[in-house]
Amino acid sequence: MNARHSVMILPQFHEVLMDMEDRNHCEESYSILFKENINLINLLNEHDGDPIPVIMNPLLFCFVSTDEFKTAADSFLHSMLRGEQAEKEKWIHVYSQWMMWNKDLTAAYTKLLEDGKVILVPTSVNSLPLTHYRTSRGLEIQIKVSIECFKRYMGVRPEFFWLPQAAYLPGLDLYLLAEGIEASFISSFSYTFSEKEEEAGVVRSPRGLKLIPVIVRDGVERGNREDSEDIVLLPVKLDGNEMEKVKEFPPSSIRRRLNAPSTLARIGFGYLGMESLAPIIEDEAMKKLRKVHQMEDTLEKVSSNLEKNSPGIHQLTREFISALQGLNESRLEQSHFNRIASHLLDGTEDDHFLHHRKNVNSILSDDLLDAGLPVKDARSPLENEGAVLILSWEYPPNIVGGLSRHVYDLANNLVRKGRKVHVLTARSKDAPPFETVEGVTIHRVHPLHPYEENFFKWVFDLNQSFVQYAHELISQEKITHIHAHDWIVSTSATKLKEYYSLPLITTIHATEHGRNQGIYTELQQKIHNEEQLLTAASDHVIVCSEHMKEEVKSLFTFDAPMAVIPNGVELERLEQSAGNQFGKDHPPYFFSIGRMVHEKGFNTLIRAASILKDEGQKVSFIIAGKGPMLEYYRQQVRNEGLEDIVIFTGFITDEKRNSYLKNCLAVIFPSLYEPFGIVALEAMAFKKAVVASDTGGLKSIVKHEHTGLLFQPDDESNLYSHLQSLLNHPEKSRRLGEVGFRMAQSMFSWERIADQTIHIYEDVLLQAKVEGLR
Amino acid sequence: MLNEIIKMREQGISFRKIAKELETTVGKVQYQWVKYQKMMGNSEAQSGETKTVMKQTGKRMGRIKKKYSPSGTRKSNGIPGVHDFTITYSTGSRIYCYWTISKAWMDHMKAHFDLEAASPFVLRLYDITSITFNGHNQHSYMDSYVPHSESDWFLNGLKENRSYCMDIGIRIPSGEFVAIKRSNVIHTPRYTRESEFHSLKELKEFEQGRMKEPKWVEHVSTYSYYVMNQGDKT
Repeated sequence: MNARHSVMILPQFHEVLMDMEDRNHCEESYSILFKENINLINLLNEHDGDPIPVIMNPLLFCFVSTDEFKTAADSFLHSMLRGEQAEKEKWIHVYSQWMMWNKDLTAAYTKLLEDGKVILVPTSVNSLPLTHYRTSRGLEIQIKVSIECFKRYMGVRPEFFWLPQAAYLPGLDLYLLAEGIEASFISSFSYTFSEKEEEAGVVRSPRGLKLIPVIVRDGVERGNREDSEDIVLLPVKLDGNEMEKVKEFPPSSIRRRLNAPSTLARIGFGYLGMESLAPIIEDEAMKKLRKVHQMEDTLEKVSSNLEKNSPGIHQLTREFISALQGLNESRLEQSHFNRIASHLLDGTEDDHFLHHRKNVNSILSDDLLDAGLPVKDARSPLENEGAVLILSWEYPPNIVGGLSRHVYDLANNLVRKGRKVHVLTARSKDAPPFETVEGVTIHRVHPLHPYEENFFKWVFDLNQSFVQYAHELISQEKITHIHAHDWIVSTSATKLKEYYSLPLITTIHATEHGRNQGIYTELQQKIHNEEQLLTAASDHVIVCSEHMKEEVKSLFTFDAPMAVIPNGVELERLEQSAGNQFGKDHPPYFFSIGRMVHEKGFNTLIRAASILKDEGQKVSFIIAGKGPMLEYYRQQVRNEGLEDIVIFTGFITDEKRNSYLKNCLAVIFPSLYEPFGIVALEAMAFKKAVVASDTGGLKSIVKHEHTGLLFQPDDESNLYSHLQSLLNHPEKSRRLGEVGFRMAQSMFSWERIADQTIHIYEDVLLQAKVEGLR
Repeated sequence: MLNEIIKMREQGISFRKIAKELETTVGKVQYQWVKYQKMMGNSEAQSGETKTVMKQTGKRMGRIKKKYSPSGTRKSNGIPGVHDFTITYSTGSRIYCYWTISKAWMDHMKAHFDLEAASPFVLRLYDITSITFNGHNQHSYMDSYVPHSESDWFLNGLKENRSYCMDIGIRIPSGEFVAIKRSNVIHTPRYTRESEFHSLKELKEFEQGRMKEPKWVEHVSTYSYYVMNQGDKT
C-alpha cells in the first residue's frame, strides 16, 4: 500500500430496520448497535492528529435517541457489568461515559466533532445508489432527510456528502448544492477518465460541486494512479479489531482537498467497482427497481396533490424508506406503503391502520420530515369547467386540406360561445408544442417517428402519441367529451373513449370510398375499416350535408344518431382579408381551386375551356391548388394548345387566393365528388357567381339559377353553356353572387354552426349522464 | 356469425382470414368483434375494478363508487396510453431496462396490424450521441428480440462515452418496426484514454453563467430530477 494513501472510514453498522414490529428482535439489534457505536467512539477518541473522515447515515442518530435504544443499552451494560472480571474494567469505563453523555450517543459524536477528532460525512438514508432513483421526490427524501437529521443532532451543517458506492451522475450536483453541500466523492476510476483540461486532484461539476476521488481497499490494489494521493475508503467492521486496520493509514485531510484548487470536468456516470465490471446493483435487486420507481411516482403524486396537513403523508415517506431497507436482501415489502398511498389518493381514511403503522415505524418524526421536506402548498384547486378535447391531425398553421381550417373555425367559435376547448394535433415545424390562440388551447404532439414514410404506420404512431399525451391531459384537465375529425384520429378517439368512458362525437368530412369512388387497394380497405371502427364507436356522428349523411349511412354499420351541420365560412373576415394585388390587371378570367386530384374534375374544366377558345371567347381560366395530378393537368393544357388561357398556378397563399376570388368573373367547381366544398361558400363571400357540378355537398349549397348554376358532373358542354350565359349577361352573374352571399351569410355562419355543435355536445353529455345513473 | 368469429379469433386467426372464411368483409368482422369486446370489456372492467376496490378499502365503498371513477383518481394500470419504459445502468457498458406495456394496447396493436401469434418485443437501441434525436437521425441502432412474456432485460456491449435511448416495439408482418414507447436517455461513461475527448466549452459557458440550460446529456433525459426547478433552490 502506498505510503501517501490516506483513509476515510465507512463503518459497517448492523442495520437496524425502521419497522420495529418485532420488539424482541429490536432489542437485540439495539444492543449490537450500541456496542458498535462504543467501539467507533473509542477508536475516534484514542486517535490523535488530523480528524478522521467517517461516513455515517444520520438515521443512526434517530435510532440512538429513542427510549427503546437507551433501555436496550442500559440492560446490555448491566449484563456486561455482571459478566467476567477481565472485561469488567472496560465496561465500567463505558458505563461512566454513558452516564456522562446522559445516555445520548449523539452527545458523544457532537463532542468528537468539537474536539476535531472526526469529520462526519452524512450519506443518504437508504443505500440504493442515488443514480437509480427516478423522481425529484425520491432524491429529496434521500438527501434532504439525511441532512436535516444531521443538522438536528449534530447542530452543524455538513460540508460533505457521501453518495452510496460513490455513484455519481450529472444532475445529482444540483440536489447536493441546494442543501449547501460543497463536496462529494467519486471513484478514482471516474476521476481518471472524466474529461478535463488539467490534473488537479479534485474535479468540479459545471454547477460547482467538488468531487474528490477515492479508491476502495479490498485487498487487491487496482488503482490506476498508484502514485497519487488517493483517499482509501476503508469499510470497517466494528467488532473490536478495527483499531489496527485503521492505524495503517493516516487520516485523509478531506478539508484540505476541499480548499485546494479544482478543475472543471465533464464527469459521467460512475461508481466504485465499475472498472471491474461489477454491476452497481445485483441483478436480483435490480429487478426490484421498477417497484422503487412506482413508489416514487406515487410519492410525487401524493405530495403534489394533497394538502399540507393530510394525515399519513409523512407516514408514506417513512414506509418508502422502510421498504427500501429491504432492498439489500433483494426483498421489497411494499404492502404498507401501498395501503397508505391508496387511502391518501382515494381520500378515504383508515385511521386505525395509520395509527398502528405510526406506532411501529416512526423513527423519523413528523416534525423532522416537515423541516426536511416542506410540503408544497397544494395547488389551488383548479376550478375546471368541462372541456371538449378535439382530435384533428391537422390544425393551423399546418394546413393540408380543408379540415384544418374547419377545425380552427369550429374551435374558435366554440370558445366564443364560452366553451373550453383543447385541440390535440400533430406537431409541425413552425408551431410551438403548446400554445393558447384565441382562447383555444392547442397541444401539438410528435409521433415517435415523425418522418415515417409508410402513411398507415405514421398514423398509428401519431395516435399512440395522442393516447399517451391525452392521458396526462385528462389527469390535469376536466375533459368531458371528445370530438374527432376523420379517420386519421380513429385509433386515439376510440381508445380514449373506451378507457376513460368519455362520450365521443365524430365529424366525418369525407370517406375513403367517396374519395376514390370505391375501395380498390389494400390501403383504401384499411382506411375504410378505420372509418367503420370510428363511426361504430361514436355516440354521435356529424356530417356536413344530406348527401354525406346518405353516403355514411350506406357505407358503415353503426348505431349512433347522425346530424347534418353544414360547414361554415367567416364571411366578414374573408372580405377584409382580400388584397388587390393578384388578378386585378389580369384579363377577364374564371377562377377555380382545389386539390389536384382526379375527383375534383379539372379535366371537365379543361375541355370546356377548349370549346370556349374554339368559339373565339377572350376569357381565361386560373386554377389554383397543388396535388399529385398538377403536372398531368399542365401537360393536358399543353396538349390541347390552351397554354394562353388556362393557367394552373400550383399552391397559392390564402391572401393570393382571396385576391383571385375578388377579381374573377365567376368561380367554377367541376368536382366529380365533393362532400361539402367549403370553398364554394367562400366564393360566395366575394359575391361571385358559383358554377358547380351537381354533386354531393355542392348541390345543397348552390340552388340552380338562384344562388349559382349547376351542371352535370363530367359534362363539359353543360358547363360551357353556363359560362357562355354568364359572359353574355354580366347582370346575371352579379345577381347570382348577391343572392349567394346572402344565403351563405344566413345559412353558414360559424356562429350558427357552433350553436348546433354545442347542442349535440349537450345531448350526448346528457345521454351519458342518464346511462351512467341507470 | 359472432360465435364463429370469436372461435377463430381465439385461435389467433387474422381478421382477413376470418372474413374470407365467412365470405364477408373485414370491416364487418371487425365491427362484430369490437362490439363483442366492448360488451366483454365492460363487464370485465367492472369486475376488475371491483376487485381492486375491495382490496384497498374493504367493503366500505358503495355501488356508485364502483361505477364512477373520476379521471383524477383512476389507476393507471390497464389504461392503454400509460406505458413505462425505463433504462438505467448496470455497469458502464451494460444496461438494465424494464417496461410496462398495457395488455389492452398490445391486443389493440395485434388487431390493428393483424398479427397472428404472440410477437416478441423488439428493443431498438439508438446511438444518439450529440444530436437532438427526432426519431430518425440516430448514428446507428441495434435490435434485440425479447420474448413477449418478459418485462425487463439486461443489454450488454454499449460503447463508452455515447448517448443512448431505446424504443420498445414490435415487428409487423411486413417486416417493419412499430415503436410503442421511447425510454429516457443515458450517457455511458468514458473508461479508456483512447476514447474521444469532447471540448469543455459548454461546461465553461454554463459555469460562467453565459448559458442557462445545461446542454449536456442530462438535458435530454426524461428523468425528472434533471428538470428540477431552479427556483426551488434554497
